[in-house]
Amino acid sequence: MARGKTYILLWIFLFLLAGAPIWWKLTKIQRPNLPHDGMQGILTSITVGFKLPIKILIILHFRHSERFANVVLEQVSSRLLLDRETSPQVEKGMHVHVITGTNATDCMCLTWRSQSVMHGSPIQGAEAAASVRGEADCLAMAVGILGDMAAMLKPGGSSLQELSAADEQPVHPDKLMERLHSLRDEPGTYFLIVSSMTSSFAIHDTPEASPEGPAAELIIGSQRAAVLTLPQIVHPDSDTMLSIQRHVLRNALDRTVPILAAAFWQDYDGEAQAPTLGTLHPSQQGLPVSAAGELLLSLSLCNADPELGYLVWGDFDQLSQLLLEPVKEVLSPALSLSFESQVLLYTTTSVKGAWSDNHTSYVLPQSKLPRFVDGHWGLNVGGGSRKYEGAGVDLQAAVNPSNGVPEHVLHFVTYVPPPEQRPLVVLLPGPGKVPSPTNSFYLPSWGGVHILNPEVLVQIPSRGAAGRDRQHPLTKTQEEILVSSIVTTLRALLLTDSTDTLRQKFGRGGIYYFPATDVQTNSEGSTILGQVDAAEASVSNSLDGKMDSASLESVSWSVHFLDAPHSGFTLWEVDGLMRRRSADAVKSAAELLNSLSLMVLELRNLEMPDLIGQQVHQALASLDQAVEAAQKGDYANACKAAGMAHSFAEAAFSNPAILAQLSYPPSHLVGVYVPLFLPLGMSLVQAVISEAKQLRKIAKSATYLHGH
Amino acid sequence: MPSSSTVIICLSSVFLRLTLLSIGVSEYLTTRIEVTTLSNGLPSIKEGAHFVNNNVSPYDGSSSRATPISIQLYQLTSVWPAVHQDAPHCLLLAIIDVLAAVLLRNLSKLACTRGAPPTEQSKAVVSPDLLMAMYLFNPLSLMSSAAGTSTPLENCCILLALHAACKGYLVMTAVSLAAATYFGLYPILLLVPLTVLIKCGPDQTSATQKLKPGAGVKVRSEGGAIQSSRLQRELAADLQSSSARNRRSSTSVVFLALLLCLATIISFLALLALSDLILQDFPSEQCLPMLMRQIPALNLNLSGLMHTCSTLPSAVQSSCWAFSVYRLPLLFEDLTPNLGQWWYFFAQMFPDQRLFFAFVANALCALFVVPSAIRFPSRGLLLATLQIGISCMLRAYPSVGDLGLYLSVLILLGPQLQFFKIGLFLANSLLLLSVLGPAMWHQWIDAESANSNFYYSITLLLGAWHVVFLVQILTSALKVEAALTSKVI
Repeated sequence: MARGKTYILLWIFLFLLAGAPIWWKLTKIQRPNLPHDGMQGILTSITVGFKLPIKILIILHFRHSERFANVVLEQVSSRLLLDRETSPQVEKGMHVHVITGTNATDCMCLTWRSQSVMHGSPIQGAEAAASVRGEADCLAMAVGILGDMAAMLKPGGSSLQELSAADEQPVHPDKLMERLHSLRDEPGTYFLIVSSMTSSFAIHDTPEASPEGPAAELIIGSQRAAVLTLPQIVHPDSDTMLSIQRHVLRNALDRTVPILAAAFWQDYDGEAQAPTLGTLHPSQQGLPVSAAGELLLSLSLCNADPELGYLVWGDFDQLSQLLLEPVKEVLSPALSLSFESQVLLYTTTSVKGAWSDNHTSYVLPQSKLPRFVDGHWGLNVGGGSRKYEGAGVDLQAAVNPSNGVPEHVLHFVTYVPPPEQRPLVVLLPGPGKVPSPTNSFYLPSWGGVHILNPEVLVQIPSRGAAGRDRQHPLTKTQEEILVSSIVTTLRALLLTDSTDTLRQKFGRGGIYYFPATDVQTNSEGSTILGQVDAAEASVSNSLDGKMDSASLESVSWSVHFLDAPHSGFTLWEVDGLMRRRSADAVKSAAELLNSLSLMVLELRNLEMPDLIGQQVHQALASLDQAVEAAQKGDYANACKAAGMAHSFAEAAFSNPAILAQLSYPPSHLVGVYVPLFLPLGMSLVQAVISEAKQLRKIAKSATYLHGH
Repeated sequence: MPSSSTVIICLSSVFLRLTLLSIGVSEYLTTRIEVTTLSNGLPSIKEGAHFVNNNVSPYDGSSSRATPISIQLYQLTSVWPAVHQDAPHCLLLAIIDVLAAVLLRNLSKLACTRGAPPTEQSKAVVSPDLLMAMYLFNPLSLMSSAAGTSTPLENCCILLALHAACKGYLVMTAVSLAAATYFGLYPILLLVPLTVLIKCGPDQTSATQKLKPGAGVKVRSEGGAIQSSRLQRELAADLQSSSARNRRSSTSVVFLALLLCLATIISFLALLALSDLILQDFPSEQCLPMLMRQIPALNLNLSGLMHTCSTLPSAVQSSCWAFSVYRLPLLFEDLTPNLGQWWYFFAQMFPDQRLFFAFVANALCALFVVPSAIRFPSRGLLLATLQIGISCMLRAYPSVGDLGLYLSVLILLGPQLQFFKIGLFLANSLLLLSVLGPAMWHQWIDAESANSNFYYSITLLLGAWHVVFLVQILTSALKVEAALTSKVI
């Protein structure tokens, strides 16, 4: 029997011995080797230095007076772009090229870029340009002086001479761009044509001859060009007149160019703008897109009371193809937009409109809007008919980072109120209680709601009509109104605060009307802000009573924003969107990688699959590609690479293998092993001691017997 | 020729099961976690059959973990015309239960009489017919069969293996063991007890060989001298009933175990082939073709073996039904509360430790096989009973059907049950636990006035009950040995 006990103990010890390597193998923490230095260093190295460059080509086009052109150049140089203190963009990589000349054969080309400002004076460029004055062609001279200028010009294109033929008024920037086909149209390259007005304001020696004040006009096109028309003095050659001219220009430029800067490169810093509308602007919450740059627009047609009839989508494929496709197309460089639609019935809301005699309708004040959408509407995503195409970011890489990174969803609800609540209108905030022109509102990061008050549904005579008799497809006009509202909401949710604010002030209140009309056919859409007191006391004194200072103190100026036909987003707005998206993506990717590295270093017992290591390497490689593309000014590839970096980093950080694990200190393993193994170990030790005693007793007995 | 009482017992048990089905009790029982688990439940079988009927692999997803033969049996019975959809399946299980009871009856005759004179047979613990009735009308077995689980199939195979081993039929034992393993996986641990049974016959105590007829027996028990003398007489009869299996006493146990193991593997491969035949419409789920593909990689050199070992799991994972079925008890994937000890343990386990403790939990089941065989080298029935009890306690997804078999086989141990000191306590505590378990479940799930700890406390107590019960069995076995060697315990 003693031998049997020994065998049993031996068996158990063999069992435990065989289990030891299994224990080691099964509890060994698997984690890939991560490049921690790169993951942590990328946050400081990339987010500070990552900028998509902007190239500004300013063409000063004055055919009549060289001295006037010099004055304009002086003002532009000192006030608008090139002053290091007031224009920090130059320091941050913005390239500014100025081509100026009074005629086709007498021009000079200056360039300012960050290196020049940092290491030398821009005057050097100006002097170099002046030294070759008199060459045959102004643009050819510019190309000869500035090598990289050639990159902005297509070979065999036209010259400034063609620009000289643009004498029509008002100057249309988009048509000007078509004429300037020699200029390369690419993201990040903007053209500002500064010209004098053909019907120039004349400042005569006698103030009586000045029937109206000097005027400046800024027209910002839907592509990447703007025309700034400045007032010109008829006889600008005298010193007095030049002084007055300088003063007028300063006033005009002070008012117009900040708007231009806000449109073209105000978002260049990539920093959050201060709220200007009193509430948090959606732009300050980050772009509502997924890490891969995907945005799903879920269009829901919600009929509150379908008993008397209800609206349905007519032909959503056709609506999507004709009206929404241009929006998707123009936004495709920055994000991938997809659509799906659904029709919901009995979508009642607890928020009721109050009857207003002033508006002869039921009104919804702004305070009620946050509770308007009811949670029981069932705004499901993924169940409706869906039009989706490939993402703007190519995710078909070796490791697909889109796994586990869902696309962002924006809801757009078209709400058809019940008959007893029609017409239902949304009031704008403010003391005026003016109805919203689009009858819609948006909720940041969620989407927008448009209230549609159809007339046809009221005309259904009998309640309880069955089946398709109660269905009414959206009319063409209603679809266009919806698209206008959708685009307006998208603009509010996607564009930066400054751009949106500018549009609200100067571009029909930020509302997009479909189909879009340009400034020539709808000039009343633009807003003239009016007379501005601009003259300073010192300037007035310097005039020394030689002219009526009152006429100079009032410089009228106007700003026109041209709408993008059909798409709703201008090219320069999309450029800003790409800059913002790429900067956001790069910053997010760097932060995620840094956080992942810190977490992995902190939690030594965190187990990770090899896939995370692959994703981290992919993210770092994509970041390098983004930086390289940004240095080349390649907006498309930079945005794409930044999106991929963000996707890979997000996928690595959000890997379910990490999220599912509990974080615990290694000492907690004692609590894991003790309850099961301590009783077993105690029994074994007790058995071993017992056996040892038994063996010792036998040995003693044997010794005793042997001795006796 | 069966007696009339046997026929009446069998027919009434079938009738009772069908009655439970007709009044809706069976449907209710399929929702009880004590009866139906993911690995043996009728819903899992029906789900698999539904998949097959729709030409979808039953192992796509995780809703079905039933074996192909279980699914095929359900499909075969479902085409029979019946008022209730599950009636044919329930009838089949009732017949299997009757078969198991008959096997148990015969096993009782083999084990309890031990060659005693006919006048002494009535002094067995229970009569064979009563034992059969106890199995058929045992509420635990009854619920398991009425709920349509696959546990009756597993139990019948186990009893068939025990019966064949007592008779000394090696091939039949191997086939039965393979079938039981096929349905429940854990019966493979009966390999050693069955080897002992084949070699030594039912319950031939090692001590009897040392017992001298007429030697005095002193047992410190309430039974006193009367009990001791009867026990002495019965155990002494063992010595006289040295069967023909003693002729094989020189046969190496290890050799016999290897032979049985080989026969079991062959039988199991045959069952795999049968399953693959059932799944011929789903070639990607067949196991043997996958194994055949892996065999060429099984080079005799070490590197080839290591390579095969490293690639086999992934290949199995991707293409074999057996992985879908047997990974559930091996890896403890489903943490649905059950009668076992592990669901709460693994729910609280750190994920990176889960695989190791899955190994520990399964190893714990196998740990006691060899030590108990070393300690009781000739008591096959005792070893089998111990292993069935250990499996019932430590298996991943136990059900009341397993406990029913355990209690029925326990009776085969015969006179040593009389050494149970706390039999009344054990019976009452099991009764109390059977009431408290559903009560705590109701409080937790239905009334929402308790949490999982309440129910887990009952399963823990059930585990403690198992431990006490096993200790009692071992103690009584040791007492028998001591009685036969005239030791005072």
